[in-house]
Amino acid sequence: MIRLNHLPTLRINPGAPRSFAYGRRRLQGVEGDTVATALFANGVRVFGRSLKYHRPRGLYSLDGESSNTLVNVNGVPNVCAETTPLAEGMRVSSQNAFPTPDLDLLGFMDALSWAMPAGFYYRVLHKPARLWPLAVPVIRKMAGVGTLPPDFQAPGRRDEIYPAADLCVIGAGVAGMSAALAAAEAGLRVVVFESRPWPGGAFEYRPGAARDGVPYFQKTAELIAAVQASPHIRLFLNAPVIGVYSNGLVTAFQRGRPPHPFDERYIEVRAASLVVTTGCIERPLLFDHNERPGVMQAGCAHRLARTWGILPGHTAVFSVGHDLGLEVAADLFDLGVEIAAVADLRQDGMDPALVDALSQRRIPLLRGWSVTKAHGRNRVTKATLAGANGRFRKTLDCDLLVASAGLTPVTGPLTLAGARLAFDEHTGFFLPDSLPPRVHTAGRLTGRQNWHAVAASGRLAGLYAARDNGIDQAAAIDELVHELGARPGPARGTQFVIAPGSGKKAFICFDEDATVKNVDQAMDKGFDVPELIKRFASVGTGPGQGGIPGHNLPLYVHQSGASPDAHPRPTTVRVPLVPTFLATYAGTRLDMSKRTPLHALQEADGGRMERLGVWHRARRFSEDGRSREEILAVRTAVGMLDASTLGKFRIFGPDAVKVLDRVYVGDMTRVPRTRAKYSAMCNEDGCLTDDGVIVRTSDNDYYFTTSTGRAGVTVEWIRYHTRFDDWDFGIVNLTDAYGVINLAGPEARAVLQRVTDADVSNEAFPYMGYREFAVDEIPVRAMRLGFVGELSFELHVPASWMVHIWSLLMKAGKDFGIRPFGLEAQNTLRLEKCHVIIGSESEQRTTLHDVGLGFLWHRDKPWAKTVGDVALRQTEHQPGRLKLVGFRMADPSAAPPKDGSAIVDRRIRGYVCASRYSFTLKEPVGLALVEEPLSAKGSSLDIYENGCGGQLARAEVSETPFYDPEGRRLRV
Amino acid sequence: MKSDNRLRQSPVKLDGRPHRTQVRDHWPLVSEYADEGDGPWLVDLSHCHRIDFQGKPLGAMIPESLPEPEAPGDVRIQDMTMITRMGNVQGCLWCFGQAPANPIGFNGTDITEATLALAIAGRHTFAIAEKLSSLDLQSPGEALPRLYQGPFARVPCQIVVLDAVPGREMLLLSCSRGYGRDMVEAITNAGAEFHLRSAGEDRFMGMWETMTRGLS
Repeated sequence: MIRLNHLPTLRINPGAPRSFAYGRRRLQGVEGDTVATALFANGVRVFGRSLKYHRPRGLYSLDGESSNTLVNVNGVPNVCAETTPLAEGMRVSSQNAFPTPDLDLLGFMDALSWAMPAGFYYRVLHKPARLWPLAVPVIRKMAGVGTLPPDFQAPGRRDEIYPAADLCVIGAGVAGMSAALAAAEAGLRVVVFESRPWPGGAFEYRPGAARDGVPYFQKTAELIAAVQASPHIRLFLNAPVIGVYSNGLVTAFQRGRPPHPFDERYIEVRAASLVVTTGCIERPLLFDHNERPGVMQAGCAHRLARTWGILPGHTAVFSVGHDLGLEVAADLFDLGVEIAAVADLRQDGMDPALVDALSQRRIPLLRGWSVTKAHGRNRVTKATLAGANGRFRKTLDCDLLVASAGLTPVTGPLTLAGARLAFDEHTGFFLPDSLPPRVHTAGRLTGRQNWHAVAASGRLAGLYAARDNGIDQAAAIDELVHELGARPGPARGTQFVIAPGSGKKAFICFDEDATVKNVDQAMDKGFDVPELIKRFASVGTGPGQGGIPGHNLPLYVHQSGASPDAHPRPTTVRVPLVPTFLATYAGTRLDMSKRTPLHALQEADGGRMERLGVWHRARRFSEDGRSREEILAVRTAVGMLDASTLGKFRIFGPDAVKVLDRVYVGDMTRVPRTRAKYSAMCNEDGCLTDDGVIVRTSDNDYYFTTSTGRAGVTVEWIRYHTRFDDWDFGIVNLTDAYGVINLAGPEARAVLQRVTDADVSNEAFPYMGYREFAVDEIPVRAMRLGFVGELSFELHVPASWMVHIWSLLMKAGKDFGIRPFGLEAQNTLRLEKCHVIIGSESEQRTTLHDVGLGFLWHRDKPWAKTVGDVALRQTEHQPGRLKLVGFRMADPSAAPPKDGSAIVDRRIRGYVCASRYSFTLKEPVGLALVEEPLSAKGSSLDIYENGCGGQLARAEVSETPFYDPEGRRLRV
Repeated sequence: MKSDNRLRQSPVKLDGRPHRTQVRDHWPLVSEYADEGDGPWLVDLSHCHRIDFQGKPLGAMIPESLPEPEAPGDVRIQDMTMITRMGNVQGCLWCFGQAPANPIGFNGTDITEATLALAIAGRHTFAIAEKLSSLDLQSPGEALPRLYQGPFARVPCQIVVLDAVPGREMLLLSCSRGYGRDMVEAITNAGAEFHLRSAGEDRFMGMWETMTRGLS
C-alpha cells in the first residue's frame, strides 16, 4: 500500500523500512509503525478470530481497547498489535485461527451461537454434573487465546524506576500538558504518563482548527515543545497507567524503544497530587455485525491516515453521534476516501461549520439515522442505514464503516483513586460527583471539546495541584476560573446505544463474544444490575479491560428498564487498567540475599550452597547427601561449621537486664560474667519463637544470639514489648558484624590451642563458659557450647577477619583431619543429641513445655512481665497437646522417614519433625511431635509417608538423647 | 601468635582494574582504578569506621568535639567525620580516613564490621538511585546533606545524600554486610546504562573535599 507521505502530522518515517514476517509471508512496514498499522498497510484486514464464535476480527481502535488484534509476536501470544511498535525482523503470527484468519476451520462455530447463551458454562454443562469435566478441556482448547508452555519465561529486558514527583499527571493530551506546565511553573516536580508513543492526545493529529484558525496539531505541537523544554516535567511516553492507590501512589509500565535499555519497565510514583486528564474514547455503536473487519471507530480511521499515512478504505459510510465523526468524514474525504454517506444519530446540535464542510464536499448527511447492519463475511462490503423510526432504510456499498455512538470518558484512574461516578445527562458521561482530596480532572474527560477550554481546564488543575503542595495560587486560580467560564463548556452528548432492529449479532463485548442478546438473556434470568450481568454474560472481562463495553453496558441495562436504579451505574474498574506481563511487574527481579564472609571460601572448598531464608548456606561439602564423612569427622576428630547467620546483638544500658527478663523466659539477673546462659523467647501464647545464648560482657552490657530466622525481627520484637516502659537501653544488631565458627569435635581444643595463647583447657574454659581472647592478635569472643554434642568452641570473629581465622584453623587442624561440615551434617549431629531447632521441632502451636524446654522457664519473676508467662502457666499441664518425642525405627535397617511424614492410627496423631540415619548409632533416629498419649516411652508409632502405598513404617518412642545421654562429651 | 600479611576482607568486590592500592589497618584498599571515566562512580568505603550511638539525650552520647544533628534525618559534617541522626535516641558517626580520635564510650558501638558502605557519585547518581529506591532522595524541601532510611534495592538501608549539585552528586549507602555481593550487582546493573564505573577512595575524598568546601 502506498503511504500518504505529505502530511505534517505523520509519525512514521517512510524512508526507513522495517522488514517482518507474518506467518509465512515476508512483509515490510516503516519506522514508526505499530504491528497493527504495518499489517493493515500490507492489506491484512482479518487479524484473528474471536474467542467463542471464531468470527473474523480486524482493526477497530488503535489503543488496545479490545482483543481484536491480539497476535503472537516472537513466540509470545496475546500481544496487542495496536500498541506494539514494529521492529526489524519481528515474527508475527495470528492466533486462534487455523489455518489462517481469513479461512478458519472453526468458523462454523458462529452458526452455533444459539447453543451458547449467556452463562452457558454455568447452566448447560453442569447437567448432568459429570459432563463438566469432559467439557472443560474441549472448551479450553476451542476457546484458545494463545498457548504458553508451563516453563515459559517472558523474553526481553525488564526494568523498574521510582521517579520522585510532587504531581502526577495521567494523560499527556492538551489538558495534561497544560496542567503539567502550570504546576511546573509554580515549582512542582511533575511526572506525566502518556500511553501513546507521543504526547498530544486527541488534538495531536487533527488538522481542524478553532476560531483562531491555527490547526489543532500545530497548537498542540507548541505545547509539546514547551513541556519537553521544562526541566521540572518528566514525560513518560508509551507508558500506560495500570493502577492508582491511596496516598498518591500511581503505577505504570513503559514500553521501551531504542535507545531504551529495556523492553518494558515498571514505574511507581508517589505524588502529593494527581491530575487525571485521560480524555475520552469512543463509545461503540451497537448494530448487527458491528465488529466485522472494516468497521472501525472514527478516531481509528482518522489516525490511520493522519498518523501513519494509511487510507483506511476506499469507500466509507459513517454512522456517528458526535462532531468528531463529521470532522473525520470531511478530512478523510480530503485525503481521498470516497464518503458514501454520513449518518448522524443526532437530529440537531451539530457544529454548523462541520455541517457546511460536509455540504461543500457533497457528502450526504442523514440526520437521525444510524447503521443497523454491516454486510460481508470477512470484511465489510455494504452497510444498511435506517432512520430513527426504522421506516426508512438504505443499503450502501462500502469497504469502510466508521461507527461510534458517542464519546465516553476514560475514568479508570479516577475510580481507582476513589472518585464516585454519577451519570451526567448533559454530556452522557459518567463523571465524578466528588473527587478525593488532591485529585483533579481536566480536559475532554470533563466533556469539554474546545481546544482552548481543554487547555484552560488543564492549567487550572495544575494550579490546584500547586495549591495542594502549599504554593499560594489564589489569584491565578481566580483568574483562570473566570477565563474558563468564558470558554465553551462541556458539549452535549448522546445516550444512544443500539440501532433499531439489532441484537442477535450486535456485539457489546468483542473480547468475550458477548452480544446484546446475551445481555437480554441475563436480564431474563433476573440479573438486573450491570455488575451482575457483567459476570453472568462475561461482558467486559477480557483483555481489553472493559474498553469496548465500558459504559455501553450500564446505559443499555438502564434503557432496558430492568435496572432498579434511577440512573445508570457504571461497573467497577480494577487494576490493572492495562494488561501487561507479570514479568514487567517483577521489574528488575532483584533477588537480594545475604552471604556470609566465608561464602566464596566454602564454595571453593566444594560447599553446596543453598538459599535458606535470606542467607546462602553450605548444605554439605561432598556428593554424599547424608554427609557421612563430615559427621564422622566431628564425632571422631574435628570439624568446622560456618554459623555466621546466627543473630547477634548487643544490648546495653541501665535497664538492659529488665529488657532481657521481659523477652526471655529465664532469669537474666543471674547471668555471670564468664558464663553463657541458654534461654528461649516465647510469644504471648507461650509458643516458642526463639532460642539462643546470653552473655554479660560488662556491667549493664550484654551480648546475645538468636536463631538465624529471627535475627531480622529481634530489635523490633524487643522494642515492641518494651514500648510502654520508657526504659533506658540501647540495642544494636551485630548479626553481620561477627562471623561464627563452630569448631567441634574431640580434637577441637587441640586445634584451637594451636592458634591462640589463651588457656582453653577445660579448667580455664569450661562447658558453657564465655571468654574473650585473641587469635593471631584478632579479638575473638568464644563460647563453649555443644549443639552437635561434642566438645565445641563457638568463635565469634569480626566479619572482615573471618576468612583469615577460618584459614588459620584449617591449617592448624590439618594434622587432626579437620574438615568443614555443612547444615546436613549439623542436622544429623544435633538430632542424635535431640537438640531442638525452632521451626523444625516446633510450629506455631508449640509451647516451651511441648518440646521439653520448660526447665528454661523461670516462673518466679512476675516483676518482669515476661512475654508468654501467663500462657506458659496455663499450658503447663494442658491436656491434648502435641509433645516432642524421640523415636527409633522398629527395623533398624529401615530408611528414616521423610521429614513431615504423618503419624497415624485411624487418624493423624502427629508428625515426624526430622529423621536421619545415624552413622554413629548405626540406625535411623528421629524427633516427632505426637499427641500426648503416644508420647510415653515405648509407644509404637505408625508412620505414613508420601508414596508408601499404604505400607506404614513402624517406630518406637525412645529415651532421649540418643547420643551421649550424660553429656560427658560436651564437658571434656 | 601472629602471622604476617594479615588482611581483612571487604564485604564488597568491585569490578575494574586497580591502578593504585594501599593497605590501611589491614584493609587492602584501592585508591584509584584504571580508567575511572567521567562518572558516575561506585566507591567502596566499607573500611571507614562507623560508630552507632544510642542513649538519652543523644547529644550527651556523641563525643564532645562533634556537632549534634538536631532532628532525625539531620546530618552534620566536620572535617572528615559525619554524624547522622536516625531517631530520637540513635545516631551514627562516620569517619573517613582515620579511626575516630576519641574513645567511643559505653553508648557507642563499632558497627564498621556490621555494615557495608558505598558511595555513588557523579552525574546520573540520582538516575541510578531512582531505579533502586522509591525514596524521594531529591526532595527540594530538604536541606543537604540529609539522611534517609528505607529500601534501596529492596534492602533496608541508610542513605545519606551529600550533594546534588550537577556533576557533584553524591550519596552514601550503608546496609547489612551480608548483602554486599547482591547490592553491588544491583547498583552495577542499574548503573550500566549510565556507564557507572568503580572508583577508588581518592575519588571520593576529592569529592568530599569539594563538597565540604561548599558547606563551609
